[in-house]
Amino acid sequence: MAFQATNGSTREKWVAAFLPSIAIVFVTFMYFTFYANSEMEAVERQFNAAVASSIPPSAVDQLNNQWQHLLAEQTALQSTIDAAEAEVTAKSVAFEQLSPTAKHGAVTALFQKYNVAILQDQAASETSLPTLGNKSTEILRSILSKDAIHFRDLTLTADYPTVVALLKNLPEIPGVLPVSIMLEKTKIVASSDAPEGPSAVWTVTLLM
Amino acid sequence: MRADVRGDKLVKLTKEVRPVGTTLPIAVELGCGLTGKKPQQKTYVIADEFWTGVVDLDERSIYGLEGEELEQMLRFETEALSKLDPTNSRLGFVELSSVPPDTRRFWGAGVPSEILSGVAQAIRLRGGKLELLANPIGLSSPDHSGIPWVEFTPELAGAFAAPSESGGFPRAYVTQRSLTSDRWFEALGTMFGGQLPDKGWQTTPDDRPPSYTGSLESLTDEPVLERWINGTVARMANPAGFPHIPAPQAKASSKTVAGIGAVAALIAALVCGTLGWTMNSRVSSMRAEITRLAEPAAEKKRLDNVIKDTKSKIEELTVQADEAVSKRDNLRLLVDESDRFAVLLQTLANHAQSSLVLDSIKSGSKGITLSGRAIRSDAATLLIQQLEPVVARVGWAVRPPSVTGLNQTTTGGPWSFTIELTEQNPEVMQTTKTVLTSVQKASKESSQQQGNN
Repeated sequence: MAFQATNGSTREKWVAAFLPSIAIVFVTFMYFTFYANSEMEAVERQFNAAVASSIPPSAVDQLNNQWQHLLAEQTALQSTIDAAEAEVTAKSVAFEQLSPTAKHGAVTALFQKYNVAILQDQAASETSLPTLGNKSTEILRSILSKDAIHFRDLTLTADYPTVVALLKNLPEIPGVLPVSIMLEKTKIVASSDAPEGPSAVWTVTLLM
Repeated sequence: MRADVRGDKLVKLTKEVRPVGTTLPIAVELGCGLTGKKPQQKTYVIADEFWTGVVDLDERSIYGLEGEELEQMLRFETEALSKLDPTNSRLGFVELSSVPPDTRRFWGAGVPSEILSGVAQAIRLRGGKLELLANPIGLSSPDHSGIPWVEFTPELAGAFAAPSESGGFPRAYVTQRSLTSDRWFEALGTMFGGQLPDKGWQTTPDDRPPSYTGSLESLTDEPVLERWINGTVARMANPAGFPHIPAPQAKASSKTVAGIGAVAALIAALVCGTLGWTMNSRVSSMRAEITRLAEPAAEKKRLDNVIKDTKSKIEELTVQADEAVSKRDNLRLLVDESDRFAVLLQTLANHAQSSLVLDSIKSGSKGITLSGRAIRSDAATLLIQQLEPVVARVGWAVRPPSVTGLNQTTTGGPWSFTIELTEQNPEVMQTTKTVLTSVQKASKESSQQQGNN
């Protein structure tokens, strides 16, 4: 017995003719139902979230300006640091130009030049310096090698103008700085040109 | 005969003798060509060349049938009367008032399918379109009011009545006339309901049955014929209550069907494709917009991070700068002002007074202490007034003197005094500090501004 798959009726022809259309519509329906719509909804959610969290360009410009300003500040600070460090380095270089004995020799020569009698010349391991002086010394010690600098107390007798001249000329020796001065038992000082009594005893502390 | 109507009025009636032996389709074509005008798109063909009659059926035999199935059933039931092949003919029918107790009565009109398609084709060839095919009997009542009437043609006799109530079935009976007997007339009266109506039509005066006593109008009279046509035209406006065969629906060829299917598929593909493309475009545009909207947000995030890093770096640099500047200032005090002791001693000597003696100079952790004696109580004060502007430039701040009277004279003098010089950064260094402080202040203002944002 043969099965009759088709009877060739008009209705069947029309159904067959519209089958591709129905298939296309069905596929499109399935595509929209199971893929496109859900994708659309997901993208719409992302879009709404993006709109809600959007940043106006003016805010970005403002932040950019602020950043540029901060960069300028940073550059200025860096320049300040560089300049300060360069100056510190430059100033500390002088202390290593001469050896400690050379500096001591130069100081002794200067005293002899002014005919100053040195009553006592000894190294001072611990010198009581003012706060700022102490800090400066610590800075130098932090920059220079450990034995590059030390203190020396020089006790001497000299008239007032000579001491003034000595104190002016001592810093001209590289790496030598007067950091403290003491005067005891002096007599009346009338003027810088007046003669000084022999009882004036000066103690000059040198950083060298 | 061709009748042209406009609305429900007869406009033109054209008649010509039908050639002998012409079939109905040919006659229709000839009729269409009588005026030289194309027939209308609603052309009604009224012809008595096909069967019409009344048939009674047992209600149980057609129970539940309607529409095409009922028509098919009626074609088989009327086969013996119409002599038409049920499988190759079309039947128009109308149900009449039922006959108690279990009989349903139908008035039908049948035509061979080839005649129907031939008529339709003949009209189509002339540019018109067949609307329906009907037998003329029972189409038009004499006074258009639905009062029962009779009709007598050479071959048929019929009695007709409109439905007595709205929605009801009409009453009618049609029978074949016999030349040899009057029993058909008696049957007509009986089957119609006992008494025949008093008015009616007759095709020719010869068609009047001898036994009929009512008045009949003959269609051979021109005014009567026009009245009959007008009545028929009015009836055609609402083709109900009489059997008629609708024009056959033109069957589309397989090629046409396939073509229409292809066009439909193409349209469906285009529409669906357009929908898909539109949605895809919208999704793409939204994604592009999302990307565009995300750019400032990403840029803001990046800027926030770099600003945070930069601020952190500025804070570190500020500390470093403070330290570096502090180191430098301290070193300046030591190195740049290396002759400060000479300056101090020189200044003391320059401003020394005869009334004042400097006894000692001592150095301590706070600075330098100057001690001495004076014969005037204000000598120490005068000294520091002159001393202060000079030594301030080399890193000393002068404190007010401590003065003590020794009470050895009548004025209480001489006086011993002590002047303290404490170390400070020179005035030049104060300017640098001020600059650094202004940089820090600006940085803090920037932080506050971002905090506000």
